[in-house]
Amino acid sequence: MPSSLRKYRRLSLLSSLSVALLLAISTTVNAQPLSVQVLDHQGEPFQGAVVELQHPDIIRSTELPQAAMDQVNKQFAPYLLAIEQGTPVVFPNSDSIKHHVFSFSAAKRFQLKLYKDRHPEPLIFDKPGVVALGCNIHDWMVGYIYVAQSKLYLQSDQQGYALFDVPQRDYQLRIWHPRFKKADAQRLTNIAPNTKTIIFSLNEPLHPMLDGQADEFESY
Amino acid sequence: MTLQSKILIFVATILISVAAIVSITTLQSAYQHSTLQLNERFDTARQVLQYKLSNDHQVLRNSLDNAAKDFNIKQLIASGADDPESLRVAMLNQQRRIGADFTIVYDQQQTIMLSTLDNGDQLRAERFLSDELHLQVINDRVFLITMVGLKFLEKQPAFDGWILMGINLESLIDDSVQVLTGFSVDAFNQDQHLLSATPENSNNLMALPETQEKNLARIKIDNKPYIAYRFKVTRNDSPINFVFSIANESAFLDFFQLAFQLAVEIIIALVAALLLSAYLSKNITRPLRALASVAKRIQKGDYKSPIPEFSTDEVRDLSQAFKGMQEGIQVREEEINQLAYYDTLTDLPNRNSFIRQLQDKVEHQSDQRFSVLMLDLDRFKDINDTIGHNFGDLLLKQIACRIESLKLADAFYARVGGDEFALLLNDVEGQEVMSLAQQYTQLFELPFNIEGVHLDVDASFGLATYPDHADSAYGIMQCADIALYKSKGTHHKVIEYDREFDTLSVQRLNLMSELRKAIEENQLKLFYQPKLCLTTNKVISVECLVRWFHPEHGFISPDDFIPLAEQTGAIRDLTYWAINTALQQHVAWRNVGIELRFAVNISAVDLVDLSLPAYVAELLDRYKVDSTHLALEVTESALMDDPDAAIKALRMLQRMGISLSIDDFGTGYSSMAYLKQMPVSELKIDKAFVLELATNEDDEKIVKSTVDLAHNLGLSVVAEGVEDEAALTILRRYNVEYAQGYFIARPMSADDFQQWIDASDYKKNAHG
Repeated sequence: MPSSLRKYRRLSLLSSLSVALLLAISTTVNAQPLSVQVLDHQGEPFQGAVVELQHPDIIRSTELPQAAMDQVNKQFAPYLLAIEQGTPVVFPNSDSIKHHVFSFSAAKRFQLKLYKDRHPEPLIFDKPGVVALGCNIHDWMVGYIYVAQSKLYLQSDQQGYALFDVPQRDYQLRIWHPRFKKADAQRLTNIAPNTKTIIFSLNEPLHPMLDGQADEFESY
Repeated sequence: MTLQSKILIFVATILISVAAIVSITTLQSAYQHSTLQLNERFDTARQVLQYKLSNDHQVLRNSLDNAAKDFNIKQLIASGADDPESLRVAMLNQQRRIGADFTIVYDQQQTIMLSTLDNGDQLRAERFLSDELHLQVINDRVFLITMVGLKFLEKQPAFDGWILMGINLESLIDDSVQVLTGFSVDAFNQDQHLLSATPENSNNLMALPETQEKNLARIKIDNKPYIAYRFKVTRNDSPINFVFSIANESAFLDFFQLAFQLAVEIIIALVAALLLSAYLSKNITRPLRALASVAKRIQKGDYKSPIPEFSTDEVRDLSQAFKGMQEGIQVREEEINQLAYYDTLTDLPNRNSFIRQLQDKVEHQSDQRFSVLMLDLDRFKDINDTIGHNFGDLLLKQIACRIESLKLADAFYARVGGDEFALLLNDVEGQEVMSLAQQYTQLFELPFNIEGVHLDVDASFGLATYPDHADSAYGIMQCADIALYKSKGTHHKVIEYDREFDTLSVQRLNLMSELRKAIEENQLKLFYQPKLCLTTNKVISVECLVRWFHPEHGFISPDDFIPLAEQTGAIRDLTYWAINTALQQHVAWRNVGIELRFAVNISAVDLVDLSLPAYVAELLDRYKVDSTHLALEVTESALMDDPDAAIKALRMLQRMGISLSIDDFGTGYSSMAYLKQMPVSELKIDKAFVLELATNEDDEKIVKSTVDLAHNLGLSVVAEGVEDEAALTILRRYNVEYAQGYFIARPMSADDFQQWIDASDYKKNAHG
């Protein structure tokens, strides 16, 4: 594995940890644990889904660290990048070849020609929503950037859990993953205050896994 | 109908039947084969069309796929809502590049982002999601429609939009398809003709039912027959129907060519066969006709004409059979000719032949004189009776030989009757013919030697000359015959015909027809000649003699009509009449005191008539006459014709008490054996021996011995022909019982006789 990839992965891990740290700080007043478990339609835990708690009272982060969507071995890395609205994302291109990354998604329409050792300016993703990334040169390359409205978002772990420690509010729960079917992806769940545990079960089967996705999950 | 035409018709019928059967079966199977082939062609064509359309569909699809993967297209579609004009221009460019007729772009929600078709909103994307071939009717035209989904990211599970393009079928199904399949292609739905190869006949095609397997539809286009095949390219529920059609003449080109070829072959075969059969039948009928004409020639009596030879075995056999038949007929005709025209005994020509010869001469050489000499043997019957028929025949042969040996003036001879010969003497002049005839008479001067017996034979001759005496064959024969007859009666050797003889001859011919009438009309009379009893010198019996006083011809001698009456059978009536008349006269005279026995002549014919005795008995009874007063006289020759029958008849009469006499004794050839058996009581010596009795010693001896013979047999004797005293004296000396003759009295009528008897000394005293 090239050193740059490792560096960015470390970087992303680092940023995740810092987000969690921030959350922990902000909810210190009267924060309570909230456990969301994502199960697929067969009741198996689903890992990697973005779990976002939305509420108008949530204050947006004032300082947003830069996120990176790298191109490693002719794949987007990570496959799914969750960021808060307004986060700048860089496309470092760890490959030695040229990429032509684009998105026709409503949340962020852009195209970016990536050459080796030439680092373009990061892009600000200021509209919430899902941005599907492709490469015009390599049709198989697919990546997603989930632009969350709020800063309260996590990705489900191996047991499908996203464990929040947040103030009690009547949140709206949105859970998303590219493998979700449309209805499941668009579903919003209202969470009553004092709710400790929510199990989110997919109603429909998942889209099949794409090539390369498995590798990524194995790294967790 | 001729054999030839029969053969022709027969052969033609068979040929036409065979040709018809062959044609029908061949054409039928060829037609079925053609139809089958056509069916297969239609199926193949349908597959070709389907393949072509699906290929076009695939090409379009590939093009659309490429377009859908184009980054710029994706980008334009992604930004289509913001910049529709750029999208339109880009899609029109794609459309032109692909060769499609219209384009519709749908977004993720399948709503139309862009349509180059005016009323594109009628096309809903969901209908074209499947990648199969879609045909759609838009604005009365059929389009091949293909739609592909578009993903901004190829690995995304969901489509982000769709591109749909349509190509007008008219541009896909062009002339090349027609060339490829060989059919015109039409398409239509329920309402309208969509694709027209044959625009003028859309109605016919639309009415066409869906083609069943092996069942092609037949329609008329422009009044020309077409074969059509209806099918669907896409799903069975598609409203779009396709029709292949082809003109009959093109569809069945092979079949029509075959039919034409077959027709030509059959016509050639038919003509050849007919010519052959005409030739063959002519070969059969020509010999038949030739033989038929030969048969006609044979029918006409031509046996000389050659019979044609033929090479065919059967005909040659027939021809040889004809030849055999012709020869057979010729031989038999000669035999028949021999029989008909030649006398089998003497081998001389016969009467027919002679008459034919005469006719021939009269017909072809009418200006040449010729004479006919007829000769007849005297007393030939007697010769036959005496020495036998075999000898008679031999005699006739010898006479024929002598006539032939004379060979005078290329004469033609014939035996024209039993003992009659005729000679045709050519080129004779006046007196010379008589001397010729005299030469023939000299043939009979020498006696004939027949098996050692010397026989003197006399003959009478009659002569007639053409054209002096008659101008026809029969006429001249008759004249010669009349002359001959005259010659016989007058004891001349040769008499030449004279016209005076005619009356006699004609009389003779008519007599018989008149004899019966004569009996009825009392033209016949009985004359009575007395028989003098020499012992008593009285007349005690009379011979009744028939006399005929013809109103035109006057007196007719019995010698003229009695033989004829015997020949015709009229003698019977004559005899009955004579007996009846005699008995009446007997009664008449008895009443005046003259009692006589009546002798009536009967003939040989009467003897065999078994009803005579009954008739006589009836008459005797009717007139109350004793049978002893009736005597019947039969000539010696009549008795000897059939002695046994005569004896039988005479015995019957004898038993009735009727006395019987043998008349003309000495002229016949009596058998003594029969004579002694004859139940007769009297013998009449023929006048030939009595007339010159006084002067002829021979006659005297004959009479004496005859009288002795009669007396020895117990018979009384009557001598006829007593014409002088001397004879009577001699007869008295010989103890002859009765005499009859002119010296005593001629035959007299009843009245004359009565006066004579009353005046004579011979009258028997009735009471004494």
